[in-house]
Amino acid sequence: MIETRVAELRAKLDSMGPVNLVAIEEHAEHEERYAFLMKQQEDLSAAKQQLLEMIKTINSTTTELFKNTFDKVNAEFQEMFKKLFGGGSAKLVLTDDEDVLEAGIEIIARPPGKKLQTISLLSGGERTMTAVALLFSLFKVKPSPFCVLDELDAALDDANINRFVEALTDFLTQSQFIIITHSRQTIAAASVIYGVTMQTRGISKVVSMKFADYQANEKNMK
Amino acid sequence: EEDSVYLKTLEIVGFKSFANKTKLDFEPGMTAIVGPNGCGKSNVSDAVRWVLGEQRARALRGAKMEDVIFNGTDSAKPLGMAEVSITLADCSEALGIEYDEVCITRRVFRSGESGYFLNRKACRLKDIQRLFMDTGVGTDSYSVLEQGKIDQILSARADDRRIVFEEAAGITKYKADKKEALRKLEHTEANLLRLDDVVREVKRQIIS
Repeated sequence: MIETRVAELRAKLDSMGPVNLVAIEEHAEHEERYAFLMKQQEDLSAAKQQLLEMIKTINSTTTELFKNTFDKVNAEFQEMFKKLFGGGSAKLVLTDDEDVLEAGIEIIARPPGKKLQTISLLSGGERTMTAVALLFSLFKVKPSPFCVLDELDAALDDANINRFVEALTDFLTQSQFIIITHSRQTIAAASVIYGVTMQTRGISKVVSMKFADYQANEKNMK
Repeated sequence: EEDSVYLKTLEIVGFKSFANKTKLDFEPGMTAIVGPNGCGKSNVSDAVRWVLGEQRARALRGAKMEDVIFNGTDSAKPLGMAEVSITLADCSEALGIEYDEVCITRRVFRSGESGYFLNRKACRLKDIQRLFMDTGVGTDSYSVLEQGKIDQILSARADDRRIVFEEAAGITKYKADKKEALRKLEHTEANLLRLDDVVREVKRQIIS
């Protein structure tokens, strides 16, 4: 009886193979490593959550800022267009009201006496005038203390330039303008004039044409 | 309005066609810059855009930034450096600083070396941008409106047209933040995935 039992146990012991004497230590090490990894995982998950939160906040902030600005510019644009065209109407439309952050912006304009159309169908001068109306509207919503206008009026005819200069003069109380132009009408509205020439080929030279005396006179009259 | 910030002077030397030191004085109100085609009028607006931190060489009609340096003519030698300074007046109240005049300088050498200066002291573009934050002064705003902006607005591509509105809405900065956050998120997710594998392996070792 006992002998059979001994044989049985011996066989079992053999099947277990050699004893790993460091198993307990190893197990403790693994446990420790596991705990460390879990902590890391927790930290990373928290970081991920934080980033997702941040992106959500950025999305809602930018959506609000964009929508707010768009509405303001749209209102200004409708006014400015009428002023610059001496009538007619125009508006801005978002191509996708749901996704403000990705939506395109359509400009729809009706010059006086014409039908409502998208800007691609307008004439060259009308297109420029519409763009200028939009730029001025943007400028009204987000003014800059000074502004350099580089030949924005180049494609405009006399009638349009008159209205352009008129609109520009309205801005003079809020901003200073430095305007690069070929137009006599625009030049006439300026108080200081600089001429840029090339007396030597390839080298620009600035000639002041400041009408200091004239200006002093004007001030005295006021 | 007497005490709003205005552009007082623009000094250009070695920038594009302005080989010789050129100084323009401005006053509040409207100043016209006139002259025949091709004499360098638009280089004046390029100079303003450049000193305010324009980073795109193409927007300045060049291939690389060093292309803004005067490149010589039949009779004049090329220069080694371009420098543009603008002085803004009546700043103290509007910007909440102790000095009333602020001078911004940008310089680039043919070697590619370049720098920004605030009141003649070296600084980073960031310092300048921070100073003018929310005042409307800067490349992302409406300090310079050129033909390109008209093209952008009339563009058939909705994206191009959006950019102008995004600048006005002041969300360009947020878009950069979002891009950075998305990059970090991607990085974090990759790390989590890698950690998952390690955890599974350690778990297996514990059970056995």
